[in-house]
Amino acid sequence: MRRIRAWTVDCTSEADVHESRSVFVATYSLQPTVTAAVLIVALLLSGCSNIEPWVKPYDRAALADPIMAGSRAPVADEYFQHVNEVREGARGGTGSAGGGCGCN
Amino acid sequence: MNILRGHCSLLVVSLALSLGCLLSSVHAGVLPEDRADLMYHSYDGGNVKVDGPSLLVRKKIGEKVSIAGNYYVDMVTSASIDVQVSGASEYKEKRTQGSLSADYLRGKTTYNLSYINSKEGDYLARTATVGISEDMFGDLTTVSLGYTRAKDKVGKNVKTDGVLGPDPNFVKKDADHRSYRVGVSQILTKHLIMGLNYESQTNEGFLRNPYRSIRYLSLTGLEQSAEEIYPSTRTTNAIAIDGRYYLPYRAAINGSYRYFTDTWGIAAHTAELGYIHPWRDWTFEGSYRYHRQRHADFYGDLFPQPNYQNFMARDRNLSTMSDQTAHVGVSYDLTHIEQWTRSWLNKGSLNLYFDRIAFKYEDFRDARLSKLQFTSDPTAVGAEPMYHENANVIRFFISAWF
Repeated sequence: MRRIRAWTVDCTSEADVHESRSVFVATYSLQPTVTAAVLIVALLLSGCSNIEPWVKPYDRAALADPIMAGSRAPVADEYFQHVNEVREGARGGTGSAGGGCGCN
Repeated sequence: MNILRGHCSLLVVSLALSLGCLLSSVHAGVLPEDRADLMYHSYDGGNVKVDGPSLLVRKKIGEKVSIAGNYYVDMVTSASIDVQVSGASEYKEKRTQGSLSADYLRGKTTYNLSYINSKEGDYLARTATVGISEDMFGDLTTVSLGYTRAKDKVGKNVKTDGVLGPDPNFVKKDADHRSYRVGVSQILTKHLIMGLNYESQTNEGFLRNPYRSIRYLSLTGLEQSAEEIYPSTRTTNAIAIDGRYYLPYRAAINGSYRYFTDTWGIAAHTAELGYIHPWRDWTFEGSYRYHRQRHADFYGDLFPQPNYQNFMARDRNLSTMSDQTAHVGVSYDLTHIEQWTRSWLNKGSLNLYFDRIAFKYEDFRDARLSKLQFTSDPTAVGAEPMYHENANVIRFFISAWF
């Protein structure tokens, strides 16, 4: 027998409450992993999308330190990536996805 | 021609993709800093020496646009095991590459365009890249999408009367490459940032090296050679996760893992762990990288006969192999450069990186050891020890921010 799980959605508006009910009805019969994915997507797409950053801008001093940069020396890092790709049969997937640290 | 006079088309598109990332290495919502980097690079290993300069200059135009240009040169001197086994003599050649890129910032979104042109005696590659990055959820998340298209023209040179020129018996071939990338970078805590990247590449056309051969045993038991035969298409998939963590004191550790697979049967795992530690005006770093791969389905070190399979290759980059890299680096911040240059430069640094790479092949034999011109005590063909080699890589560069 499938368990019915209760989900708590932190919403405040009428629209948000409606969205959270939809999530509950739609997900209780799905596998837990799928349920979690659907819930996350639904939350992102719902009126609850006004997510509060859990790392505040004033808490990002460490992330803004140059030693936390994904590539401190792009010209040197990309050269070495090239060396590896020349000598190996695998490539790709190592491109920078951007920083996202909001360090400005 | 690249380091090993081989794997040309795939390498060119890889380099193009790498440089595309270099030229568009922006944080969405933030244009990169104005900077210039002048680097001397050197690769020395397996009787191959490649060195030359690389200059990257990036400058903002107004508040919303940043442009970058890169000029890169490879000076190659090679007598690699492939060259030796083929009976050819050491060769020298030069590859030059120029790149231009522009980033346009609009709100939290950064758009990127870049074009790369690479030219050498027997290879021409042109690459265009478009990309977009978007900051979202309070700048905790950055999503990036990218597309690259490259077209190559592959030639073949031969020495005639001691002069290197185009092979009259080889008609230039085309190769077409596409790459699709998506990535997410996520701040998880105030000390931890992680990234997830996926990239798929498709390659179509002439994908082999016109100089490399397979070897096979003749009916009399002698080693013979024949042209490699490659598929005309390849699709690769790579997914990578990486993270960087700020330690309780001012230092950081970083790690990454990548899984790669392709339609040629190669499957590879790559992992890296690094540490970076600033001390006064100095920054020290070290890392260890490990790569292991399974060979392509049509790879073979020694084939029983010339037409044994529909596809046949003896490129050791397609063999079952592993390599390990130990990296150390030191940077010195030129803290007084602003005074020295009367504020023309904001800051600068001198940097020296050294890497030692050990390659170990599990089904690529040292074919020189069955030939009298290389050893006085040759082994039987197919019974040679497995090949291995080491390489030293040096990067010395000056960076300046203005």
